[in-house]
Amino acid sequence: MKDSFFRSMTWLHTWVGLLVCWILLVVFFAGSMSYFRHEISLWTKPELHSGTFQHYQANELGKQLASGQTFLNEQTHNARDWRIYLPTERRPYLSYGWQNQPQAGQRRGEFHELIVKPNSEEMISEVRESKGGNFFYRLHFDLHYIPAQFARWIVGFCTMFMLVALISGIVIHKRIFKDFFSFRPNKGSRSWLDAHNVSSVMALPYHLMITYTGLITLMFMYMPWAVVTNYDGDNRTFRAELNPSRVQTKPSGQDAKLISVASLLPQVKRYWGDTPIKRVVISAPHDSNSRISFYRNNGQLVTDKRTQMVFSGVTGELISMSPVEESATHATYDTLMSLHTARFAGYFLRGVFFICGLMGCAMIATGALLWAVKIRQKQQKQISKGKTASFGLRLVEGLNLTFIAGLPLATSVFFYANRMLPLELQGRAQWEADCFFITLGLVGLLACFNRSLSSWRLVLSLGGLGLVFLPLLNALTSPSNIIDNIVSGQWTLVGFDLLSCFLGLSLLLTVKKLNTSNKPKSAAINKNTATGSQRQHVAGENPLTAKVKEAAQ
Amino acid sequence: MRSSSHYVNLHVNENENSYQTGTPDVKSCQHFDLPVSSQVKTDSQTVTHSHVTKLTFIEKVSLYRPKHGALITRVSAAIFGGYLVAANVCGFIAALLPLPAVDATLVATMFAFAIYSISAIRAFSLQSPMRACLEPLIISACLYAATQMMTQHL
Repeated sequence: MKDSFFRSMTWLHTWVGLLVCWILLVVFFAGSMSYFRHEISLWTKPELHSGTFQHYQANELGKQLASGQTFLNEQTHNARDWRIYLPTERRPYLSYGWQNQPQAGQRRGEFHELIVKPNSEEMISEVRESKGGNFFYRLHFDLHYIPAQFARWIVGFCTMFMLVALISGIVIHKRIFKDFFSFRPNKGSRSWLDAHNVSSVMALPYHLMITYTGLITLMFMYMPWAVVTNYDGDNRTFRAELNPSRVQTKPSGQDAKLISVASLLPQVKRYWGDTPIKRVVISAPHDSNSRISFYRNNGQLVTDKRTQMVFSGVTGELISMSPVEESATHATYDTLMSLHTARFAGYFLRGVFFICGLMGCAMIATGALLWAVKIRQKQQKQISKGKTASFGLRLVEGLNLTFIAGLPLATSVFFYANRMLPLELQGRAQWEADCFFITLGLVGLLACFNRSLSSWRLVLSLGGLGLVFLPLLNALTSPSNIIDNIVSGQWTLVGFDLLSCFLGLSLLLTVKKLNTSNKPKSAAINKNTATGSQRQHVAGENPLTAKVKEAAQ
Repeated sequence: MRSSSHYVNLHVNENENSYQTGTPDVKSCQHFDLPVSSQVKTDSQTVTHSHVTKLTFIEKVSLYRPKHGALITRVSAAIFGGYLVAANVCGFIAALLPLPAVDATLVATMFAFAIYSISAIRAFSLQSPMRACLEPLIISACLYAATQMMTQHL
């Protein structure tokens, strides 16, 4: 395309990266938050913060299942299924839930869940309506406000762009190992390039893995052609063959008595030993086709499989059990899926994944900022003569401000909305999400008028302050504050408070670095002779490099 | 030099029509916006020699190249052509592999995205945009035919 392969790939990397980087930034950001979605969901429900946590107790299982079944039997009428969630490490509470039959026009019926307090029959039903961590989880592939299928196509399209950007980035990075150790601060666009290189290369295996496995999670939607070839497009048959124990049986319509769930425990124990059970689902209760499924807590196994045992709800006979043996291909597929979701990760590994995700955000952000800085340098001559910057440059700078500075602010607004919106507000969960996007919109509006460093300082410091004061917000609006949580050992809540405080502080530190710069305006006037030379010392850009250094670490 | 009339400036590489001392090492191109004089290197002065021929309508149409034509062809070759290749490789591998159907389907689908990105990159690394466009089409056609033969749909 250009003179050489290298130059073509450089061009390709720039454009493939630039065109979709802001959507990718949202996806990476929301995805990184999703590593902690259960923890975030817990934090957004202060009603659960005191007196609800309990550990999994194998010897209490029978009692818990029995009382669960009794409760659900009394409470529900014609529910589609009943669920008993047993305490796990990341969801440390016992709850009973049920899903109603779908109403006309609904795809799924309403789901209700009641948390059971430990050592008592008391249940918490008045938990505030909030999407919690699931907001970020859904955001990173279903986006928001648009139909899910359409959003997944958009995200898939952007992910392909990302994959091509990664591969072309590797190809053009001739001195990949040498550059890995170079970071030249205070040198304008060269520093941005170094920051971009460091944040990309340091977590390169992660970036490649997460991008490719992200495509794999939705691969049957993007590439159904193998199914078309081998199964004539019959998705149902393929799914049944892929996962035979997941096939759902339709209710027969005939009434039948449901056996006691707890009576099946000895059978479960025989096959699974002492492995903790994650949940029990009773589908089509009181129907002759009812099924009782036990799901095992796979813990740290690198698998996304829902390992389950399915019994008949009427006779108690074992219908199917998740196969232990699976083909190598299937194991590969399962491993790739689970690498993306990281359900196996314990807290340390989860933290590492989270940091890698943030490095991905840094990679995208530094790339976009690098382009803006370079192009501004190129156009500096015309700009100082009085011409306005080109539309492309203004657009990119505006989008940079909106997303790079706006996302942390929008996140903190989301959490403030979670605590401060009235509990009886109709559609409260959606309002919290709306506040997130309204904030982004407002920052975007600001970016239309003022894209200078002062806007960056304003938005970043607001975001930083918001995040820093989240523990205080928690103390004021929750029955237990951070000290209580440390005392009672509720580490998920402590971790959330501390992490948000830390991230807020790093944002504020960044703003401080921006504040101690030389005035950008005078620097621009002095440097009106700046050409495309990368070694040119553009003083106004200094502090931004420090910001990236913070973000990249 | 914008050709706003019916005439187009054609450059030919052969010496017969050029007055310069050496052959300019530029491919014959029909970009309307390239100044004629930059193409001709002479040692004394730039001469704007051009043979202006009146073209028929059909010739005008066939010679039309939009301003970013090369870019658009490459982008379509990458996005659509690449997908076509990946889809056909997917189907081909699914039919080819001697594994059970489930496994072959899984392997083929997982592999397809690597193929997509490689063919997208190829579309931008080839020198000729026309080739970048035709290659995916031809490869896809061959693979499709092969897949159909294997699954005996032909």
